[in-house]
Amino acid sequence: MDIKQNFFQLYSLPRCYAVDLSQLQNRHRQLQRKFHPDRYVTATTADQRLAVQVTAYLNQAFKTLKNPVARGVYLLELAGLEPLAVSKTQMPADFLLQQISLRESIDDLPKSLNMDQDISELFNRLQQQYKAIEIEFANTYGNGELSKAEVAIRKLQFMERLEQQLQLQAEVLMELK
Amino acid sequence: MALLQISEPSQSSKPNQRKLAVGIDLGTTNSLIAIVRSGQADTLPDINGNHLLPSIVRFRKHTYPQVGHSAKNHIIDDAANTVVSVKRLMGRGVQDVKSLSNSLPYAFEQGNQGMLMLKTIAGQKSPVQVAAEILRTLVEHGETSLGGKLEGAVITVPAYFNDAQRQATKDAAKLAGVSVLRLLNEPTAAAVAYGLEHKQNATVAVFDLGGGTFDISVLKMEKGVFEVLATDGDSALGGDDFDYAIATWICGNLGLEAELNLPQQRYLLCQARMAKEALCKTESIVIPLDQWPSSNATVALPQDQILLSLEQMNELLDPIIDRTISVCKQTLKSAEVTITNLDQVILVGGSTRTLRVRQQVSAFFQCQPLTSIDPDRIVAIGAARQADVLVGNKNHDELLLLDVLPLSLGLETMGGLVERIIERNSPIPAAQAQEFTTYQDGQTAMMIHVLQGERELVQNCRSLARFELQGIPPMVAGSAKIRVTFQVDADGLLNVSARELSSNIVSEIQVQPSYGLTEDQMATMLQDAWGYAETDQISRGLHEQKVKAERLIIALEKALEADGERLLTQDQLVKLRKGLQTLANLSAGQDHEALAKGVDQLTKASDEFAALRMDESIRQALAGQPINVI
Repeated sequence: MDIKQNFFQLYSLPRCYAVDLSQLQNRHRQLQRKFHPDRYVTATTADQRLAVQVTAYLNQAFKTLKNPVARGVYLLELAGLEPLAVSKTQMPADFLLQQISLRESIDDLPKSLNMDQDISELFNRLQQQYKAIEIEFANTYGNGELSKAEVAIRKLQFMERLEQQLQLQAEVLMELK
Repeated sequence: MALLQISEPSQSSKPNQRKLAVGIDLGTTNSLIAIVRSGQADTLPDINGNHLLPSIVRFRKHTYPQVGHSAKNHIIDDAANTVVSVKRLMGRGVQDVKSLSNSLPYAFEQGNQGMLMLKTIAGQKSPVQVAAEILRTLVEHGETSLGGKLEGAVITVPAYFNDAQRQATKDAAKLAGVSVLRLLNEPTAAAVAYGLEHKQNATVAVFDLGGGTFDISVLKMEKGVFEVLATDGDSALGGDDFDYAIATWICGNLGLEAELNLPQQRYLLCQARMAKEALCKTESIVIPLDQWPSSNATVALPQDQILLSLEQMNELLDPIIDRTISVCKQTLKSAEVTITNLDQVILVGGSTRTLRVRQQVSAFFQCQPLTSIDPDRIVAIGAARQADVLVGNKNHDELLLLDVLPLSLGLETMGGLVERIIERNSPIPAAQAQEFTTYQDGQTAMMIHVLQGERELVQNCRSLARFELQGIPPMVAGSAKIRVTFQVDADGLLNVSARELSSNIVSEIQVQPSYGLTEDQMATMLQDAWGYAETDQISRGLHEQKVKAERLIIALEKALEADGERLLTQDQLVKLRKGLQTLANLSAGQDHEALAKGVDQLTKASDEFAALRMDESIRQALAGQPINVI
């Protein structure tokens, strides 16, 4: 069965970047209650199979819409673009320089004399930038400037990875303490 | 749109009849069967009042195998034909088991394709057949004491069981003639047993240490929804390893260096287990060794007893317990839960009776673990609760279990690397597609190798299956597009399909585990099983098909009445009505194979109609909800 509804239609949500996460969570739960294969144990095998498909689709939809990067990528894919294609690796130079400097700050953390504070400051810096890029994406996408939106979502992906690295580094340093 | 409210065939004649659905805990050491009666879930005792059936099967020549206590009496004097801890062998290959075999007292041999077989006086037996004997005993016992045929069973498996181990468990149920409503993860079952008793919202960890397997799951319980956040474990770690450590210590202390025979190994492991259990109540114990089976042996004992202190035993067990604790750390991290925001820890499994385990678990989680439900019985009780809901005896709204995939699934790519398709701890059912391409000009076939595990290299992951996608049109390297779709169902079982996008060549498999049973082997074993079964398995098969047919007929009639005119063309309508009539005729007969075929055909014919209805149901599911509240 090909499910025709896109992820936004599925949850009856507007097709835009801003998503009310608690509403998404509630509706996801509501649909799970209705379509989970456990509800179909005494149904026909055809319905059982469909329930597995629908619930798997729901889980994929929920995971995609919950995550800011995946959601942005999905919006662009719905518009017929491939924002993460291998051919599109060009990033603005100033952004790359900024990335390098942030990465250096993470690498330098073990040498820090005031580690807790440095870590939390770095987290704040990353989060501020993350939010700024999210706004950039929402605006460009909203205005139909899709090639700019593509750049923005790739930036957001860079930031997501950087934050994961910081998380990892912070955990290692806390263990050592 | 009442897609879900389909009445049951058996309900139509006797509307208020409760359906007999049981929970079965197929354990390494003991197995149990449980049921819900008048709202209470409890395990069923046998005629002697025993709730635990030892998971032991003794094969005999020209007669039925013994199962349970009667088999247990022979684990030393007939060690070669008496199989214990078979769960540790489920879904494993010979190579796979060699890493375990120092702690496994069996005689194995290699069957087809590296499949593991046990050598017994009644011939080669696959672990699936052994497990089927245990299930059969429980089911017969259940049906006798409940006075009717079972609708089906929820069978529990360790959360960390991989695809092959789950499939093996399902195969065993098929051999035993019991219909599986769901494979349920053991820690989740335990959480259900506690959660429904206490009805509170909480985040809990379930620490489940059985005879041969270890699981840890972190769950969020909220208004009847049990959501597993993360799970981890070791499907080859358990109380058996404690016994083995103690037995090894005895050998070392007595200076036994020569190879022990099977009865001697079994004897030492039994004495080790007794000592382990006794040391819950006392500071030290004298382990008697005077029954040493030396008649046909070259190894004599220098003394006929040995002293083991609690302190000494703890030292032996700590390295094993430490392994469980480091897995716990990892799981909390995956679940994004810290020890401070964890509300409770539930202890499950007989091995959590060992004092040292309790101490170490309490110390790590910084709390007193919950043990108010018998750790041996809790899993079966939780399974019975779910079975009761699944067959519709209880309102569905009371319970929703959302479980996860325990181990990542992936494919082999160039250079022996694994490309992960579905990450572990993803909620199930799950589906994910990934596109691959050819690496040689004119390549017309592609080998698809499915793996399960967390490591980067193919050789370090569990190989689940290989299959070939053929008929790819010859193209320049890198221009074919092959989409491989993984789908995991609610039992945690994988289905893989591959499709070449330009030519639409499709290849689909239900993953047949590399060391699993083939269709042919299953058919032969089913026949063997029917050959000597006391209950008439053929009538069981016919009954099963009739239930299926009746279910399909009633569901389809209802669906046609509700939506047929609206969603189908006249042609389609006529065709389905004809199909209904044909199946009704077959159902009145006695030919179970023809009936099975008929059910299959009508299911296929009505597939599209079912999909149309499901699609409509999705569109209407959130109807009436505001589109935009942002």
